[in-house]
Amino acid sequence: MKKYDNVKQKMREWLFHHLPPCEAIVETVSQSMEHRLSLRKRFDLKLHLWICAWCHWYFEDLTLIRDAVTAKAVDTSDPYSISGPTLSSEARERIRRQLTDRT
Amino acid sequence: MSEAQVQSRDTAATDCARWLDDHGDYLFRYAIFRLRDRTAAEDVVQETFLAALKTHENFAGRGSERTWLVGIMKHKISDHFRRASREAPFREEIAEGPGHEEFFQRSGEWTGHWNEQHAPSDWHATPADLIERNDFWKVINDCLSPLPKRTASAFTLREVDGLKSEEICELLNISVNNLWVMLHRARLHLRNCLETKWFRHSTR
Repeated sequence: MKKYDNVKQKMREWLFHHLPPCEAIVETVSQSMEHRLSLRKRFDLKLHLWICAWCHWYFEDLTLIRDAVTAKAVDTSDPYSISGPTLSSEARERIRRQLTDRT
Repeated sequence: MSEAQVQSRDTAATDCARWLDDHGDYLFRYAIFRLRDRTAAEDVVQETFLAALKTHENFAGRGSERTWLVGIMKHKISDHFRRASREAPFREEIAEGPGHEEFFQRSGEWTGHWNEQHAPSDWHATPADLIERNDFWKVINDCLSPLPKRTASAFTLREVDGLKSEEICELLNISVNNLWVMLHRARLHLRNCLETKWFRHSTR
């Protein structure tokens, strides 16, 4: 069993040294959300995510953020209304004047 | 002026005053979240109300007033982006954002791989866990703030409004490669920021 683990570890290390590093992979993760990747990039990405938990979580987190933002944006309730910014009184007055002038 | 015209004018005046009270702050937040600029957001709100006043009679209470106003404002926001990107063409603003050099190792056997203290962790969360948070938009907004304006705008147009790459490139007057780099930088920064604000205390 120990021998098997050793071989697995060696294989992981070999792959890590022969695949693009995490820094390049996170950029590929983002690109995969924009367009279909080339076969080579898809292969590198799949393999890297398979052996690298950190990049795997990065991928999962981005997907989660996208899903949450998309779902939340459909909800028409006030975006970040809690302590969110408001129109300044000057801007409000200016708009009010403009509207009154034109009615 | 006929009696009907006077009456219509008075209705418009009352409606406008009410719009500003009922929807002014909402529209302002909607605009500033996308434009990342107070003055620009105020201008867009003003343009929206003026345009609404002109088309007031066409609205005639079909659907929600807020949805109608937001619909007008979306066009005004697009106009603003087009104008702004013509006036100040895109420069390499990517380098101006917060640096993420420290996220990855810069030397040794594992150059280009995550630095352990900045490496992503398992959030153990579902979209519902995030959506339920009352501070959802506030934290997203705060996390986007340190980014260059155009980068943050690109992110909101893409992820919040769901625009296609080509539409965003046209609005911001950038190449698709620029856009991809900007979105990547925004995501790298945002993910780390959300982890720090929402998850790090419980996972590390």
